[in-house]
Amino acid sequence: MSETSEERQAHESRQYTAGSTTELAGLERKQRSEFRRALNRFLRYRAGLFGLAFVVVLTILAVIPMVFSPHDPTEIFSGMRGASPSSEHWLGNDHVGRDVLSRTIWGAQTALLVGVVATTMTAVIGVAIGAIAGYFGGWTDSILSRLIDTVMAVPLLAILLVLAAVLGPSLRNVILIIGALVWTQFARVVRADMMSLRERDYVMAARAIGAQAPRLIVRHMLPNILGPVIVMFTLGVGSIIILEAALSFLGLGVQPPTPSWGRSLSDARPHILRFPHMAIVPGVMITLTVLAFNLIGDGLRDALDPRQRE
Amino acid sequence: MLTYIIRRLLQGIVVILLVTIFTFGLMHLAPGDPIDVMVGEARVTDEQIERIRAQWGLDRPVHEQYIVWLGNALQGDFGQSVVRRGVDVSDMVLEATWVTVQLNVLAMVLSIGVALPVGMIAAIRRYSSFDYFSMMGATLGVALPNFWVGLMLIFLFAGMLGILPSSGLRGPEYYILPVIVLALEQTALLARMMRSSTIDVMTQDFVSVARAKGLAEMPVIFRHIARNALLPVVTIIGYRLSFILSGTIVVETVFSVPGLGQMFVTSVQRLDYQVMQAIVLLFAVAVVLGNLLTDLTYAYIDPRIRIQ
Repeated sequence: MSETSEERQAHESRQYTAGSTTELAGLERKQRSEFRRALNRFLRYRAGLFGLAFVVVLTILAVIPMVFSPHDPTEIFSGMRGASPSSEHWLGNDHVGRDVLSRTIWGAQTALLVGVVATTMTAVIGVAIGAIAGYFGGWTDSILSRLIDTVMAVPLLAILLVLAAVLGPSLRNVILIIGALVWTQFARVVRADMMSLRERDYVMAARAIGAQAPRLIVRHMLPNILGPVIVMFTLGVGSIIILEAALSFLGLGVQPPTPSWGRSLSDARPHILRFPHMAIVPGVMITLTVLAFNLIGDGLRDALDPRQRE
Repeated sequence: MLTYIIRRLLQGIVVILLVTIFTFGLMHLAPGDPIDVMVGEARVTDEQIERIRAQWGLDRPVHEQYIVWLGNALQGDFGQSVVRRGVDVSDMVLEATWVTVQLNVLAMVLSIGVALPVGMIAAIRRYSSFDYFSMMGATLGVALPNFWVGLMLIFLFAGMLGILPSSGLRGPEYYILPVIVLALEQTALLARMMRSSTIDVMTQDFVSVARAKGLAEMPVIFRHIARNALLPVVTIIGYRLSFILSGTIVVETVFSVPGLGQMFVTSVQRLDYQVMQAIVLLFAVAVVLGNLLTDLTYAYIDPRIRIQ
């Protein structure tokens, strides 16, 4: 109830005071309460908090893996091929004798790097295309919509594999390829939202006082669709981490000796019956990481975008 | 309606052409060509290589090669595999397609059979422990990487228990693990969608009316809620064809199933261009047709959807 009264207050201060300072103060109070309400909604969702905690731990591992990693992830311990867990190697050794725990810890860096950088790329491309298509409409929209349809009709993993094979598989290429192809969801959602925003009074008002398209889009319209974009971003990180793992699993993603969870599973595949310990922990890490981002995304959706609630 | 179908088909053809031009161009940008792969370490003179290039038309410009390829492809001729010498690509692909279709139809039946009842019961008994645990399972199911689940199931059922085969496709028991893994993500997603769709329908006026006129709970659920809740869920399956193909690529590799997915991965790894091209074309056609059929079915089942 206090939230509603605060909102009304902000509204009234805008309506009845002519002084611009009071108006600004009112606006600021409104914004703060909006943010706090979203934060409260997020904090109420406990699974989202679990996800957040896990991602924080993972980020620490990814930024300073050398502090936690007991060995060099690329060091080969001779005579330790496929060795079971021991006091020296807590998670055992892989098929060539490298320390599984160290490789798992360093793998966090690869997973988060691909997840965050590639998702940022998809978000930037998708939001730009969606915003331009939705704002300008007409021919621009027709052409860009066909582009979106075409990219969506592409059998995604198949094309990613072809691209990786042709360009040569590497960490950088994996990021670029995923970033260049997985933006369609952002574009579609942003386009639809821009089309409805375009007709709003405040956008017309801004246009009437002479604001140009770039300013209108960036200053007035995009901030209003930040909620769904943040939600899609969070969920996107999870699905892109799975995509990287799948590419690496198929041998066309991150290349050795760079530690990658998907690559570790690919190495484990021929030895799964003899050395199952090679596969268990990297798989658990992929699952927990994706789960964590999905839970944060669900929590953010409830918090920022109550319309999309399941 | 007819003009709509024709327009969509034409758009679909453009999309398919763009996809094939894109992959064709890419493969020709790649360093090395099929002849290098074919020759490998063998000792051949440059003249011999040039002669083979000319024979295969590889000395001509890319756009000419593409047109020749397209013309042949339209007549069902996709050339021969460079790696498996002398084998027609269309025969290889046809055989593998049958395997992949079998697996994915079984997986689809399994996931629909599990997901729809689970999602509906979870919605009707909302906030019950069944709802809680099944949705927790579904959330986990979406996050599980299918290749890892496949490895773990192989370890468990083929390794520790020794009751199921780990790879290949030589009898009914070989289908069990791949089908389960293929169905996993789909089941999790469909169950979540079915739940939210059922909850949506349950709060609508016509359901209250059905109850108010004294209808028993079972007819309300089956005749009024289920039929309407199914619609968005079943139609989403067609839109997910692209993801289903991605799933089959990974799962067939894990279980060494001789289907399209595994064939595609091997052809990519060995740069067997003819096979790659044929499979990419097939996948693109499948995705485009899947989307079109889904749109049409949707409009047919639900007259509220207006087609422009």
